[in-house]
Amino acid sequence: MSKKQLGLILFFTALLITGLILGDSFKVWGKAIRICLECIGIG
Amino acid sequence: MKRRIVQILTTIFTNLYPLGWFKGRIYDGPLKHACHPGMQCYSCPSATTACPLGALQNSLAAVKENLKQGQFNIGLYVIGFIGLLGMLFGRLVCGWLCPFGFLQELIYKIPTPKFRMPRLATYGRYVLLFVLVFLMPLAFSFANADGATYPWYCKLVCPVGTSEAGIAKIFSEANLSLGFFFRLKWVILIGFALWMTVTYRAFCSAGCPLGAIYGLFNRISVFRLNVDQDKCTTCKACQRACPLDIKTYETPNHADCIRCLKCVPACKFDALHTAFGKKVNRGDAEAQGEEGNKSPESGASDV
Repeated sequence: MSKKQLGLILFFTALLITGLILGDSFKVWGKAIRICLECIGIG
Repeated sequence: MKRRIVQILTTIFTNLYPLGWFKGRIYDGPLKHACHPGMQCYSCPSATTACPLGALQNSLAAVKENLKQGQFNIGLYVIGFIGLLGMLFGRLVCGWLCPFGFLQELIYKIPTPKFRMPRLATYGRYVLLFVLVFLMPLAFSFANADGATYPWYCKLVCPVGTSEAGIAKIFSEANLSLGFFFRLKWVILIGFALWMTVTYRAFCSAGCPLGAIYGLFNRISVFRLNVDQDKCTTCKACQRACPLDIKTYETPNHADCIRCLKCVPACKFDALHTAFGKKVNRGDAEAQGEEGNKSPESGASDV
């Protein structure tokens, strides 16, 4: 594995963990389920 | 065969709420906070995971509002998730783990005349990615009640949502108002369904922004295909075996390649190998502007 690959893997892992700590999925996707019908074009 | 088993198992394990189809409701338990690696609609009644593309759009659509409220939820989780999978596997995810890709392969088995995908059409997925996934959710200010803008790709185009979620919703609720967008998406779904019967994975090649993202990682991902130039005779057996007609002997890690790996056993000279993080291929080196070990007959990259 090259340094470039390792660096990018660490970078994306850091983003993922930061997003988890910030609660991305709970704060953002909680809203998404309410607008899901709009998302699929019904409403 | 191995790939088919993986595809079936992935589809089963990420659709563990079949009761949803009968009850007419979407599973919204804790598993829904995790993303599926491939395209599977969040609103599919049996889906137990979220679509990464839908999650990305929803995250980007909520950026303005979140920043206004002092929250830094700018989609880091889903960007990290897609990026990490892309870096590790590239489009191997499309070829092995995507339920909609699996469905397309089944549809393609319908006996009809078959056609190759025009190369120009494969750029469609990049246009959709840039305009509907990134630009419009971030830039357009048509806000809904939550203050977020819409996931425009889901709303205007996504045939995955129409087929997995829209159809279920029609059958489960009698008094739905089906607006212009839903009719538009039906036309798109029928168009893609017809295209899928005559062209292998038509949606993946021409209309899938998630495939476009993973494809960008194909060149640099840890999992890769390598061509042994000493053994390769440029007989093109790999290209003939490739359902997407990719010149594997030149660009084994082409952005269109879904890594179904049919090319590997097709090579009678044992010149094609899968590997984790080893060796830069000839085609990749050329595309990156590097000087590779070229043989006199080596062709240019077709990317």
